[in-house]
Amino acid sequence: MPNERAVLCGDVPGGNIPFGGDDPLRLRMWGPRWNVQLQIANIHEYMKRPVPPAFLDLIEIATYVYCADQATTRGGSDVEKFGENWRRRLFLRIPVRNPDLWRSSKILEPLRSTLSFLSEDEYHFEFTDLRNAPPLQKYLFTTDSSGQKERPEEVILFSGGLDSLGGAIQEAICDRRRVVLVTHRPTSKLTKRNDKLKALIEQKAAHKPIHLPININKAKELGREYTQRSRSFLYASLGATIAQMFELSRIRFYENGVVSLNLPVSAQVVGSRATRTTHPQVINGFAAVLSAVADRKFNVENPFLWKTKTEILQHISQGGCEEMVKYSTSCTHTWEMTRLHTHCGICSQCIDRRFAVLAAGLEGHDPAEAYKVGLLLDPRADGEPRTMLASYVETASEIARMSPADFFSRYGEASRVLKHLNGSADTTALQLFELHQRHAKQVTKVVDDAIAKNASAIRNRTLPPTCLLRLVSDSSTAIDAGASTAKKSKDAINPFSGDYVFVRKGQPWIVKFAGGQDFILLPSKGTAYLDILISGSGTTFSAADLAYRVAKAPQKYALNEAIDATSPETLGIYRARYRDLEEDLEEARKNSDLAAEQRTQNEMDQLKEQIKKDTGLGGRIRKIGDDRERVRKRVCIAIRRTLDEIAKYDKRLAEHLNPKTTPRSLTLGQSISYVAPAGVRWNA
Amino acid sequence: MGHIRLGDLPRTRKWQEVVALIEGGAGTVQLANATISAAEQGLKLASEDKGLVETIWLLTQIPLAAKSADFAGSLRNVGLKVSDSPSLMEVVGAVSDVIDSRLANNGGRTDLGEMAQMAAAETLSKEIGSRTKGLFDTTPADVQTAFSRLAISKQFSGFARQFFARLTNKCLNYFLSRAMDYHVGEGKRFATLAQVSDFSKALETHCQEAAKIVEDFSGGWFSKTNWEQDGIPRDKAAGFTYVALKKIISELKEGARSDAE
Repeated sequence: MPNERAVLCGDVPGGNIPFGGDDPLRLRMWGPRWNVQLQIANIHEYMKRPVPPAFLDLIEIATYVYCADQATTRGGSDVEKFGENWRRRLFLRIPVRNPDLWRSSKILEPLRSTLSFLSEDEYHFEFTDLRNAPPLQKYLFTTDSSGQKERPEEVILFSGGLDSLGGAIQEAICDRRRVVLVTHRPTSKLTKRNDKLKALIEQKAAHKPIHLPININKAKELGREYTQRSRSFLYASLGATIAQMFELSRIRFYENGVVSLNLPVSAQVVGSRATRTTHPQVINGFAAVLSAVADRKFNVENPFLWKTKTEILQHISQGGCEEMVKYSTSCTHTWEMTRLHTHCGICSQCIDRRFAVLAAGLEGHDPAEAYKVGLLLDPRADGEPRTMLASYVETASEIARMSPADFFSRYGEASRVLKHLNGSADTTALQLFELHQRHAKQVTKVVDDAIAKNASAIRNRTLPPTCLLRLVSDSSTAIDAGASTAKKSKDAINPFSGDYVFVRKGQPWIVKFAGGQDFILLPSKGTAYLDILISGSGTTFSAADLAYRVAKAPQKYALNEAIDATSPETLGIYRARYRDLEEDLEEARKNSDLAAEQRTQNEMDQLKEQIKKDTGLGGRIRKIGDDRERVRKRVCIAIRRTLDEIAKYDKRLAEHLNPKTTPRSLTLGQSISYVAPAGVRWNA
Repeated sequence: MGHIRLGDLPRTRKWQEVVALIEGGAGTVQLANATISAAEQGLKLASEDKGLVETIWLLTQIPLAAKSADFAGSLRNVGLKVSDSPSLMEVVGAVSDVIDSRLANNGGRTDLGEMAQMAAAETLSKEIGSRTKGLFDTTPADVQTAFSRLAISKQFSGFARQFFARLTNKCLNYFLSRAMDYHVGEGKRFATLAQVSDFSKALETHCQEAAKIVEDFSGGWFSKTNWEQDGIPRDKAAGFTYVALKKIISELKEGARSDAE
């Protein structure tokens, strides 16, 4: 069943919900039962004209979408269903000031296609009439922010990360332009750092920028999904509304091209598992939606599309603003943020940032202590911390060696950009390739330099085994003459050599038959039994003996004696009675007495069943409660299961061990044995 | 921004067996077998996957369009938005775009379809790029000639094999990458990233071998269907997808066994 959710916004009625209506989510931005609150810094003093109702609708829709996105989980691991739960079906019923406008295809189509590409969800909107619409003032709060009084020239979406900082420096300091910096604060933890950045930018800017912080307060239970793929839509909508108020028709995201295009760093990163926040297709989609809302051409741009993060940092340095770097925040694991560790060092953004800082030679302005886990020399825990870094570095190493043909035949995702940028597809493709090559070379140079700098530690193997430098170097255990020699001599007698191998290596067994492909047998009792049988080829074992050898607690192993299922006398009575009934049956048939025939037949069937139960081979009385029999069954079943497993990987070995084939090498039963045929010499 | 989400394999017995095999040092052949067996149920629904079927249908349409005098017009007829003299990269970009537009609002999109879309773009770049001696600055005539050659039975066979080899490799890595990096580091299955890379290359080669089964029948299917139906309709492409994947799955299981012979 797909991951579906209905979302009812404001005071809309709850009937006729097409899907996901069992437990609809209620979002209210105002009224006594509000659970979502949008707050925009009071910008009345700067406003050139009132905000049109369509823009008020836009920011409310974007807020609802953002909150619905966060309140609906993408499910657990749905890997077997190829991401069925990752992609959600969302139905949103939203009250708006102008429903006809929002129902029109000129807005609805780009809105749905952009959002669905951005978050990979399926969106169904129903727009209803909004009564008692709140004015913009409802969302405004007073801030101590003060900036220039002249009309601003640019609206920049300023997250406080390195890229948007680079953009703010470019616009406000290098180009001396009047800018508005719109900041969405996902957490109050960033406030102090953003305020510091604000102050530093103001000191150097020719015109004091206008800072517009935007907050969204929501009920705790609405924060269930942290991926927040729709965040950039909210951000763009708020930025566009501000731009509209200043009579501007453009907003700018500043994001390096590598992250904008966000090619997958691992095969499991499919679709929007790598965010498409500022992907050119999304940027164009935003522009289409905003143009439809504004009823005029509205542009959304990313001037850093063809820059790497390192180049942005170099640009910051050239602008004389290096001291701002340490106050920027790139980490998304904000919940881990402390005063000492402002960056986790584990998430993709931290890795990306630190590589760029090192590549740009700005480590003096981005203290290593700020990272909870250092990039190059710190040990990394299993799972995502190591996976993310390993994938990042491997991707860079691969791309650095690639030709354009290799690149496009490895990263199909790159083809998604070709139709969404100005210029010919060939030019765009070449730019794209060159951008990624520059980035890859910047990353690999950092690694190469670190290897050179730590050559002695690598040679002596004194670095933590799971640190990046150890992972990229061919290393084994720490140098120890004794152990090393011992290992060498052990390797000389390769325990896994030969055409016939059945050897335990750690937990599993390595198996090879007749010089074929070796394979692994995972630990199981059946494999352990086979190991004993093959090692002791030609020896006959009792099933109980095999079970005893493999049992975890053999000292507790005691076999009970069996008892007869019945007595010979009782069995004799059953048989005599059966014979009598045979005569009765014949009599009933002769007399055409159907009732007697049926009755007699039933009794005969019951007797036959009981006799069958109580006797075994040759009509002998069966034993019950026989532990030996139970053990025989258990051991043989375990061996047969292992034979089934072997059949998956080596048909010939399975055939060789099949107890039903002739000549038979494996015999099962109370006495179990394996006899290797002539010419078969097992390394076991 | 720029967040990337990673995941793990399910904790069910069959997937934990795959994890144990990685940890135990199983080779590519055995791992491919175990992985495809664990993923078989999901893959069985592949012929119903809109993205996958649309991708394969488009891959059959481009060579046929290239045989027409009006290449660009024929491409537009199947939905590709291209100029009058399309370059290779333009066609590749248009293929991605049209699949996205056919799955508008994400209806019916799955990771499998997404992987197929990427595999198509990659195979086109690789196969046509090698025939036109490069990706950029190719003449429209060169591009059309290179595409039209794929309409020859034998050429289509090779092309289909490359596509399915990529798709299979992507599918296997889609699962395995969720577990492999847990086993990187000293004393683990892969001591270094170089060993991971070697494993990936071996898996790629194994997928190429497994996809040979598609090469054996796809050219014949393409020519026969095109002749009988005067074109290749979507339902026939869906049938071809089903058979091709079924054969590859069986090959990955059977191939692993025959490797030992």
